[in-house]
Amino acid sequence: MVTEVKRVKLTSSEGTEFQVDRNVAERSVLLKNMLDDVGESDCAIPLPNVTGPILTKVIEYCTHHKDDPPVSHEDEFKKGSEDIDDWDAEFCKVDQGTLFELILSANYLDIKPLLDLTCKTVANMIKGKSPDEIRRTFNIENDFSPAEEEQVKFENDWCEER
Amino acid sequence: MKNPKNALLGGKSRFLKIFTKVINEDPKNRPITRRHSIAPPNPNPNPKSQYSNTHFGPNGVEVEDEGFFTVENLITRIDFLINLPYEIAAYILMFVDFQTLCRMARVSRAWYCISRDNELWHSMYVMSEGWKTNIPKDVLTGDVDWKNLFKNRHTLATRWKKGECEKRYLKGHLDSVYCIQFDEHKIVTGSRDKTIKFWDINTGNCFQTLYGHDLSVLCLQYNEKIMVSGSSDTTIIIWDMQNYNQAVSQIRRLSGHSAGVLDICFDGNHIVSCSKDSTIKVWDVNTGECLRTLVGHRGPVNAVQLHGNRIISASGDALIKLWDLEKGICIRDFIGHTRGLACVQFDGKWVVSGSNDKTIKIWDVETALCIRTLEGHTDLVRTIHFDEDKIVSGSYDQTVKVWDLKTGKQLLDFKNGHTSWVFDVQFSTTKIVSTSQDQIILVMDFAEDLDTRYII
Repeated sequence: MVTEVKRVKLTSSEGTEFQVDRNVAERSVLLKNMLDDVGESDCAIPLPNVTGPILTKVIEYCTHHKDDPPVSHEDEFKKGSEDIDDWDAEFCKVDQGTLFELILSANYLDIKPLLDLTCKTVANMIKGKSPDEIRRTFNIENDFSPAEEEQVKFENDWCEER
Repeated sequence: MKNPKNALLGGKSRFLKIFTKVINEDPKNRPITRRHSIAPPNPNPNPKSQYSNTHFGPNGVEVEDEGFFTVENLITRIDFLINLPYEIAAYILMFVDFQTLCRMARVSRAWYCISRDNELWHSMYVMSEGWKTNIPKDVLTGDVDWKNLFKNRHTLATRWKKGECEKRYLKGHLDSVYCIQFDEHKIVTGSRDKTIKFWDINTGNCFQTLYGHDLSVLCLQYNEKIMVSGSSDTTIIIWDMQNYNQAVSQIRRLSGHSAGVLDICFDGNHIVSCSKDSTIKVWDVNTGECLRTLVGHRGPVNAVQLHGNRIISASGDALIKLWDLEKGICIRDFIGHTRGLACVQFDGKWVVSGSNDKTIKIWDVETALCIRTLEGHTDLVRTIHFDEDKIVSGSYDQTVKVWDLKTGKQLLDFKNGHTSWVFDVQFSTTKIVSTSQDQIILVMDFAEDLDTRYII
């Protein structure tokens, strides 16, 4: 007997339709709950918060990770932001705009491991950098007055003691 | 359809402020052109696009563009923390270390605010191994300044690592100070001058002197109700501690040993004492009745400790013995020290001992095997105190040393604290207090000028 692979249709914000295996779609807790609620249906699920290019990336991620066991948030913090496997690291080599949208989509679609991965990626862009390097990385203006800057430096100098 | 509020970090205020920047990477290095587009909080739960942006095309022509990602020759730089919903921004910061958080505070005013997130510092503190707190029940954890608490705890840890402490000397005993116990309010010491003295740990003033023993006070232990002391006069005195600030009266005096009482230990039911007469005695703490005498050591029993239904003892006969409290029988011997033992401590799993062979040994209580031998003292190791991380030892070589319990590595060496044999040592998160034949009590305070109200 052949087991039929259940397919799910999704529509991105531009109206483009995507077809994915149900177990891939179910990496998203939002979609899983929806599918559990509506049951079998041929109707496409609209995702007005997610653009086509981002949905493509999200599907790529969910397909690669479709068989992963669940991991708790607690464990993720313990592992720290350094612990990213090669595939995931490669997946996150995108411009900041894409990364930004991926975070919002992971949050909206409720895909915890993807949210963790993208948040860790941003954390790694911040870690180990001086304030000035951080400003350059994210194009942030230094809006402190010289006196404030001195004060804030003084307030936070203790962290340099090792 | 489920409410999108089920999304991981909650659905409230998804877009507090939309604020993206696109810059033109210009080979001629002209000033960066940028344009902010600030949208109001989005009332539409299903916006067509997460954010829109305005940027300048290669020719400096303003272009309205929704297809952001198709644009080439542009490097997007986004202030993630400001543009993401606050909950997600704070979530990102869960993955950075405290040092990064401190540096982030110096980036901009907005980053300063988010990097101070109290919950963030709270979890940062809680996730730091071995960092405990002692926050009174009437203080809400949300009212604690966790960044400040973290700072103080970190500074304290750094000082321990470097051995930086303020030394204070308490003088008042007229002879050797043999034993000590302290808590956050007071230090209690016993001396060869036959007295027990109470000292205010903050001011260093002696506020109570107890007379009762006829010879040296060799050992003592107290809790909030009673204190038990042992002496060369062969007796044990039980004192009432409930009004120690005003007066400490004798409840009972126990006699039975035929030589000096070298060490004592008690819990809610029993007092265990050991003596130069080579025996260990178990007493009923409430009635003072001697329940049994443990015989087996062939030399003076210098140290004893009670843990649950087990007694551990260390003797001049070079042996450590583990005993069953109820049955009064010896369960096993720990063989390895080549000379007599001076001290022993037991936490239910590990036994740590100090000996006249100048070494400290760590033993597994179940197998009685010596796991590690710590070498470094140049004379008899008279006293040790350990917790889950470290061992502090005091020796006749006049030094106090700190060791890593897990690796056995020597971490600190205090050489100039005392001018004679070190007899007893105890430490807490903030202090090491030691006593010596030089009649002085040395307080080494690692928390000078730090707010350690909530730190234990």
